[in-house]
Amino acid sequence: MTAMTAPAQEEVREAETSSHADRPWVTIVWDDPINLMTYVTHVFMTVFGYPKAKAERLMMDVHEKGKAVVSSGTRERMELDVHTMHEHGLWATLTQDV
Amino acid sequence: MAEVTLLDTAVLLELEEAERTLLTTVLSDMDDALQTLQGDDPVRKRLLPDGYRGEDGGPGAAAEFREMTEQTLIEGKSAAIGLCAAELATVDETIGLTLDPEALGRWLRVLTDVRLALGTRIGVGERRLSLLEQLRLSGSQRAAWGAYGWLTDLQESLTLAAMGETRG
Repeated sequence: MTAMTAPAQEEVREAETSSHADRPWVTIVWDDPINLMTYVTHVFMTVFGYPKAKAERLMMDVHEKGKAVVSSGTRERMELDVHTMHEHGLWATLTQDV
Repeated sequence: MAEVTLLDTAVLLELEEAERTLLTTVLSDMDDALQTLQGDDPVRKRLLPDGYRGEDGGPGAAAEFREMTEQTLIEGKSAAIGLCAAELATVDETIGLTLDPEALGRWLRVLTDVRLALGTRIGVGERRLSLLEQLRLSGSQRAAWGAYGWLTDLQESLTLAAMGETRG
């Protein structure tokens, strides 16, 4: 793999402005020793429509940090995303954002 | 060796007879395994993972998610294996497999499932075998590691082709 450029700045979420129920849900993809880096990138591009650079950054986060948030939204939407990840053989779970 | 060629709107996969035989066997074994996975089997936990970790989503959320999705997941994976096996049965030495983007995506998902199942069984990730250790493996173990390596190469080539690239 070629070296990645610095990750894009993430928005800081202010917890006190939203109640627990308002907090979005997120889909997390976890690292595993079997899935190929190229394949994981390909899945992020085709399932979420992410550009290659973003898909590769997320894949590297999964690989190096052990996990990455790949999408966010309603609980129902995230359950669908997790199911889609499982269809593609990726190890994914959903949780409510903190 | 398997050859992957980029065409205009599709990918051509050419396999030797021994490779077709291996793939056919692996797909058949995989479908059998899918129908019989139970309990805490690590292959089940990897192919059909929990949707929630621990108490995320509230008590019982993981079990409820599994109840809602597991059968659909198994049926989808099984149907994809069946389609790939049927395609494989139509090719011989002279005719390769021409895969449009949809078929290619399905083959990638099936190869992923097969590698997840086989890789989990032989313990990929738990240990990395040196050449000496590989030579000391029993016949069936060595065959499993060999098949896993071959499937990995094939999937890498097909994934790059799906992204419009060839192996450098």
